[in-house]
Amino acid sequence: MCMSITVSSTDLFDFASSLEWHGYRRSDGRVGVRNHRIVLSTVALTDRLAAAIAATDTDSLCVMGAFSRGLQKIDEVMVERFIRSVLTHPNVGAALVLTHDRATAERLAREIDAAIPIEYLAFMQCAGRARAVAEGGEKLQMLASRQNKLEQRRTMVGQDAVALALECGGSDVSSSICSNPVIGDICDLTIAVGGSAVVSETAEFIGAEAVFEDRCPDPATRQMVLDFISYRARLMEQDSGKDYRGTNPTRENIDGGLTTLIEKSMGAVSKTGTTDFVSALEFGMPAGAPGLHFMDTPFFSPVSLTGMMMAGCNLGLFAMGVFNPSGNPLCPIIKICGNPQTLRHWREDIDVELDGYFTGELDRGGAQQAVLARMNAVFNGAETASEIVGEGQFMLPRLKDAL
Amino acid sequence: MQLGTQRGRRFLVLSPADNVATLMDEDAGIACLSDGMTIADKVPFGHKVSLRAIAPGEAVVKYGISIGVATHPIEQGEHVHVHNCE
Repeated sequence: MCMSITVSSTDLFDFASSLEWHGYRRSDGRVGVRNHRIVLSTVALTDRLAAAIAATDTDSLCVMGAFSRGLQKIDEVMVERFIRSVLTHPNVGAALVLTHDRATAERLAREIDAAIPIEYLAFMQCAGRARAVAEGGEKLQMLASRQNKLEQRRTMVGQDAVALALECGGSDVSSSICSNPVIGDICDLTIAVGGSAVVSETAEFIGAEAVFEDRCPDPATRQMVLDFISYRARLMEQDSGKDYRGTNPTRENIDGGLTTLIEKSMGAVSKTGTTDFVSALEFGMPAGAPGLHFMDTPFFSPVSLTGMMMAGCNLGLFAMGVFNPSGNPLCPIIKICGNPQTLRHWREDIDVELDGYFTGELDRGGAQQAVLARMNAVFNGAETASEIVGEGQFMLPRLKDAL
Repeated sequence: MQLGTQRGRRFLVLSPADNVATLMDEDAGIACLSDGMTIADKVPFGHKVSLRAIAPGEAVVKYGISIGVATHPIEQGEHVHVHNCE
């Protein structure tokens, strides 16, 4: 059978138009695909308390990142950005915010204007740990009843409500020629119907600068993306003393069939489809507008997924080659894998199996439909493999030493 | 990976503009593609073969973009890799 592909976009559009999307519409117009009641720990000192309080309410989700104090400006800004982005995230329906001191709780309550019920608890103000857990539990119950009164529930929305995080990890030949290009097709479809997508992990794009020259019509956006890429390339050089461009593709890549650096980078690029980039974002900044956005992040997937969640992504597509457990507790991540060896051992951690692409049982159109069907099911409430096991972390990049 | 009853190797062309195909199976002993085009034998899974002759200096196109240039004349069906492309 000839596997030469014609992208069956007409079929994909027809299939997409047969699907219904049901999400939680927030008062600011954004749409959540989950309605989490969260316990947000704003500093590592309240992480254990957050876990203890969340344990009193099986419907709640604990959000913590071992955040430090005494941070230098840019890192302090990151933590603030994280707190704001989580409290305004479309997948969050209510939040209990834990701080160590009362002043921080009062300041956050004053400054954050979220469209959902929020309660605050300052650990230092509590009369002992047991009282703190009890008080937090009571506040969670209060939040649950406020959510009930608000009648937060799924309603029919358009596919334009999809805000995708695009990710790849454990990359190999299967992800570069199968999972990533298919994710690119879904990205194109999402943007064609008015949705948005964010791609990150700047270092993956070293060597693919020409793509951004072509696909960034706004000169300022183009320059920002190119600056992000050259900054990461310089970082690698400083760290290893080696020129990334001179040492990539690696011997292992070459054995796998990759000839040039741009060919290697194109695997990652291909998950962005073919549309233009509408903006370049610093880590964790909101991607407000429809269209495709580039976010500057480190390559470690728990960090890059955190960044794209912070951008407001309500769903993620993750091309997995060899096994990578990453997920994100707030932004459901759909794991897509075409590598038959990986599937043999890790089927339970994978949401869409595309090994048929290599055995000739699945063409690109079939692969597109498999991904879109799963994306639709997850959007409408089906749990992802990583949600079932509670996989995923919240991690911020650290840019400077702390005091 | 299995070939089944097909006599040629499974391959993938990622974009209509491409002048190389990526081999999708591990049957490196077979010297033709499933559409009948003769190719070099012993080309491993995941590696590329040319779909037509590529002159030195000409772009090698995959994903619809230039991923490198031919450093030697490449015949149709030849293995395209670091020995003839950079």
